[in-house]
Amino acid sequence: MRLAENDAQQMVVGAFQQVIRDLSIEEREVTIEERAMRVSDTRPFPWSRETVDAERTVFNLTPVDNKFERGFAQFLDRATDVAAFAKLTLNSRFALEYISSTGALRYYYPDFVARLADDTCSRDRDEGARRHRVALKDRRA
Amino acid sequence: MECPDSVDTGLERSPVNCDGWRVLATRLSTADRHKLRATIRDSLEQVADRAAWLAQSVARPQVHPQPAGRVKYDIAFPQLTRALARSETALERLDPSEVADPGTPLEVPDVVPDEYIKYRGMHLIDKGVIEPYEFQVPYAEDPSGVITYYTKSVAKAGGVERVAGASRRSSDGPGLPPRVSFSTALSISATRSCAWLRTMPSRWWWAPSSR
Repeated sequence: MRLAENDAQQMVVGAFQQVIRDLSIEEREVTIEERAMRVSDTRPFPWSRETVDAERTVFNLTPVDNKFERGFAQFLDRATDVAAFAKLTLNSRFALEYISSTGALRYYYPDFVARLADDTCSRDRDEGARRHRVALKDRRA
Repeated sequence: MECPDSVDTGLERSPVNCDGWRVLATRLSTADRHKLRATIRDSLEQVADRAAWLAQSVARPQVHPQPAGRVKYDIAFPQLTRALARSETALERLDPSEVADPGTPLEVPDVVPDEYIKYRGMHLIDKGVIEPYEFQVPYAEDPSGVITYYTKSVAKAGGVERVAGASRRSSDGPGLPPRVSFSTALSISATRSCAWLRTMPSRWWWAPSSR
């Protein structure tokens, strides 16, 4: 009878949840696949939201989702240490898996990718006023 | 022409031209005439919205790479294999004894639980009770029902409710046991841990009560 109560269910499920999530996600050794991903391989796609005219991108237009991304794209186009940048969309088919704060396996879709003047790549996500920069260890070959 | 009973009937029977609409409109009552006008207005708005959407679709810019003129701005980065993946051996390592006990066991209230859930269907406007219902809350007939329910809840909360593999895979090889779904295995694991389950109530929610 007690098992039917919400607080009992929450307690039991919550206790198992963490153990299962710790067990169900495992880290694997990362290897580099043969073929590198090029931004220019993105197929043409229509965009019904705002676009920015930028110079340092391989695209004819830089699609943006909101005003923060618009400002960020303009910033990247002017930044002295940025050699090239591109806005990543779902058409880019690029995502990184990560463990969320609740322990679930999720996918992180970076908003922008930039190549710095020293040939280092970085992937950026511009979330409103907060900006999480994920530095990349990879250097272009 | 027979006067229509309703706007919808009139619209179906009317000839498809503006004169026909007007003839029908004069024969309609005032209320139905307003409905007819509203229907026509809505239809025209829908057509206008559709036209606007189509125009916007045609005007949507195409974003495409221009490697010929901007090749120096192309970016290439290595594709990495997945760093995180769902474990296929999670169940083999699942030990219920590793599940932490709650800090404070839940107390069992000294009341008789409800056997029925009462429900009243009320009229939206006058708030009068239209139909009262009484649903019986069925008790589980045996522990397996409770375990199944909890297994599904736990698997869903753990994000593994759709992790399946009940059938043997060709890569498993003939000598290996067939893989089972996570929920099935979790249920089996819980069932096999009878000793643990028996101690569970005293540790989890059979706290000292007034009974």
